[in-house]
Amino acid sequence: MDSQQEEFLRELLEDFKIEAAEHHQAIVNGLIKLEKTPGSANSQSDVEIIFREIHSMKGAARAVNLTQIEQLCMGMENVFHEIKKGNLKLIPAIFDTFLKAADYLEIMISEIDSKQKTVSENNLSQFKRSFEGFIKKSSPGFGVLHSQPRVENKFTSSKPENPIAATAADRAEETSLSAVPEPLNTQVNKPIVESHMKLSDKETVRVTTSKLYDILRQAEEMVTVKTSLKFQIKQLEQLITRFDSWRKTQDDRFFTQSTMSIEVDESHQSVEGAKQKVYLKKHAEELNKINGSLEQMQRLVIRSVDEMLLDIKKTLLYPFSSLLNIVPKIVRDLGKEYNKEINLQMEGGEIEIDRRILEEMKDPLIHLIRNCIDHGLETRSDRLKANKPAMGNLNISIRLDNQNIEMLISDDGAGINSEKLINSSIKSGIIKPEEVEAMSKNEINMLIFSSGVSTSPFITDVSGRGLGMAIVAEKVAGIEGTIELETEQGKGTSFKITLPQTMAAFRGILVRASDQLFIIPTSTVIKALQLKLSDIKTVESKKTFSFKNETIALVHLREVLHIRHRPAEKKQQSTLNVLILQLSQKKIAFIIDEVLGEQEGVVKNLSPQLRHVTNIAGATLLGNGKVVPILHIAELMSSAAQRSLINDIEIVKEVDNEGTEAIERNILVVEDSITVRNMLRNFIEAAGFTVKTAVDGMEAFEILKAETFDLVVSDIEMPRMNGFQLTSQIRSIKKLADTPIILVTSLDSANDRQRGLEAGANAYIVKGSFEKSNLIETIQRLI
Amino acid sequence: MIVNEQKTLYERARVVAFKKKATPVGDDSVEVVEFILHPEHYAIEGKYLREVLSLNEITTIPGTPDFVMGVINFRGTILSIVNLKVIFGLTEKGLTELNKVIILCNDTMEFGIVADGLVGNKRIVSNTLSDAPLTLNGIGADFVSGITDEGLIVLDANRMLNSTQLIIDQ
Repeated sequence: MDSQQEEFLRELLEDFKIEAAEHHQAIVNGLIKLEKTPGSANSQSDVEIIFREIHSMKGAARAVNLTQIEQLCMGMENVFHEIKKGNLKLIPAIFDTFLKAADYLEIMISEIDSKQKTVSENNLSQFKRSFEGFIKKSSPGFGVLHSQPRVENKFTSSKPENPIAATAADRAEETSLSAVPEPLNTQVNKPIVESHMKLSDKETVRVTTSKLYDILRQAEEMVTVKTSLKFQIKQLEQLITRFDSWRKTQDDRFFTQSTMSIEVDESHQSVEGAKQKVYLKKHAEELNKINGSLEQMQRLVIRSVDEMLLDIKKTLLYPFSSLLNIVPKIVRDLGKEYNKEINLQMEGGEIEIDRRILEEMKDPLIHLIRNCIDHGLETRSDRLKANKPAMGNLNISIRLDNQNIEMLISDDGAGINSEKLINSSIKSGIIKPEEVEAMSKNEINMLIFSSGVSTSPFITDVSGRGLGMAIVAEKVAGIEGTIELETEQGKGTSFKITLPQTMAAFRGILVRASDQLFIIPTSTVIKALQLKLSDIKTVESKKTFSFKNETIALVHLREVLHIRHRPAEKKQQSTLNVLILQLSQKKIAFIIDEVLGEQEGVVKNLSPQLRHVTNIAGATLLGNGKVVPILHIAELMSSAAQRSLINDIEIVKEVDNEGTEAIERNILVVEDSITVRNMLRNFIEAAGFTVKTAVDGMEAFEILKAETFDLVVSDIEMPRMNGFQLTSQIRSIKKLADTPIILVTSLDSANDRQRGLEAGANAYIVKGSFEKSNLIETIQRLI
Repeated sequence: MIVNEQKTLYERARVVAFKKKATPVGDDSVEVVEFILHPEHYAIEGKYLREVLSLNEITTIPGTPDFVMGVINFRGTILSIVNLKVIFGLTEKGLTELNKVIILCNDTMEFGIVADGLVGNKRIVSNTLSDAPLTLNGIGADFVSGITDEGLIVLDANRMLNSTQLIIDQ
């Protein structure tokens, strides 16, 4: 029972924290609005709003026994009661005290769960004294008389047209229902069904975000079903094609047979043939039917998975205002600190965006605002000197443009001093002095986003260390947004950040480097192209080529990743497959062996053991279930930049070798164990042979019929067709009969050796006594 | 053929169902699973063993040390595979199959190790183990609890799972 009550109280406190944070934000916003325009027509309603928010917070705090918060709110409420009645003028001291009190409220709310209590009784009694001081200043005789409980009673009775606000105070688990300006009791009296119907559209529930994200993750897993289904259908289609062509040969055979054997038991033959024809036709039809319904199902799955994902993502959308709410306070505090008068304008807070993006944007927004206030806007005297209005303007506007959200942060301050920017960039080694000439204005402006660059001669606690803007650029790039910058000296600066509205499903380009597959995030690929070898230039011993008047460094993906190079790939290289990748202004082109297509998927962690592997961001699953690593482009680019020059020269050697390649020796490795298969392949390739692999005798035999090999290395124990059978099969076909065969096996008995030799193998190597050189020597001897 | 199969299955069921006589050991006896890493036989405590599967497809991850063989798709999640042969320095002793994956896990860690074959369950008495041979050194030595009279090398799965040396965090 006790633990149940504890649990209940804990839940209540959680609810209170959420509610109190909202009240707190509303109080702060109201105060700042009021401070800016104290005499405006709306000020009375602003006072009303603040009063109500304080009152609600007080009630909620009392409900969960948080006496300190309740007391502080009560003091604030008393003062606002006098203001509301017009007994007390809004003097600047009130704003300072109240905003400070709001800070204390925030601290207390954040410390509900922790043992640490920053706010002491002493702090609270100080506030109490200040509040009493304000009230004394109001019309004599009134302020002191109003005791707290009566204020509340009065409030409820004096405002009969809006009972919601009063009830809100008593219900800590308030939903946003309170925003519906309709008295609750009238709804209660209506028939239940009707009220349910009426409410269902507007009714809201609080759900912890972690639960929503769990659902989102599960929905994202469904993407794997999509890709897997696609793969299975493709497999089935291939099967149908094979079956159809086989059926055709069968039909033809029966046709010729039946026409040739008219005399011999005519009726029997044709009946058999007709039977088989009907049988095959029936099966072909069934296959096609299954294929049809699978395709139909695929369309259905694609549609419902996509719709489900979109809907779940929509529930995760959040108004931008929840982020913008923190801005007025920051601007006010920084303005006071730097002694700058700032007129803040914000619009578009109602526009909705993925919560995760909003969370990611918090730091960048704060950095940009600090940057604007510290570096951008001038002091009052400087502004007057420059013939500008004394008050600096800071505008933040949010716009929805198709599926993208544009966040514009602009000031009418001094603008960015490009000379200082260039000097600072040169000093920190980001650019070389001689490079400046060739840089466009935009490129120079973008230098501000490089780490270590600051135009400020002073290092303050908010800016000047040159890290803030680099963080901004990184964060924005991390959520696949872009940032642009416009600045004019003396006129101001504006940053335009373009963000996606929802976190897009991960899309990547599937590429092959040597014999390994990788996924490159589509968002980083700006161009895939085929590069002629003659287009490659060498600049300071580095490979580059020119793309749209830009010189781009060229590297081999497999070399950056240190993957073994398979000599077999050399032959048809008259052009290179190249992907140009871009990440925050940096472009590098990677040479890959093949582009296999685009892939949608879920980014998965590599495994608890592989916490972080350089150049790898995670992995995703292909339709056939295969795991493919996703490359970490930022790390890949810095790995590429760090590569030693020796590797670069290797490209030249390869290119030079092109025409004079030695005669290729093809070897087929047949082995069912994947480990041994890869091991054998690596050994044999390392010795300079070209290797193809098969998983069992059956597959090997198919491959042998289609292609030419100089030698076969085969295991003995394999499913479907073992090594002995394979050897006999090879020997029985004239075209293949002379191919040397080496049997590699763990079976070490004289009997087996004998059997192998009888079947026609040329050599027999026992795994137990196996040594690399032994196998290679044997191969070389036999070819 | 079918009769034979039936008979085999019956025989197998009988053996499995047969209640073994309480092994004449005290609380020190632990259930282990014996497996082969050519040419040696190893054992690992059963309670850390989650599952055994065949290795069909493995994706190598560039930039990982040799003892990380790669990763596999284990029912939709990604699982890394450790090759103990590299850790124990057995790589030069011939080609092996390494086609069985033994998945080890505790509360915080999970990975698979590859084996050449699985022998089966066994009970051993931990206080009868002799120390690991001096020839083993490096991280490998840390993972060995001891050796049984028959020469079975008993590994400490928990220590492997908790080892920071096996974690890749570059």
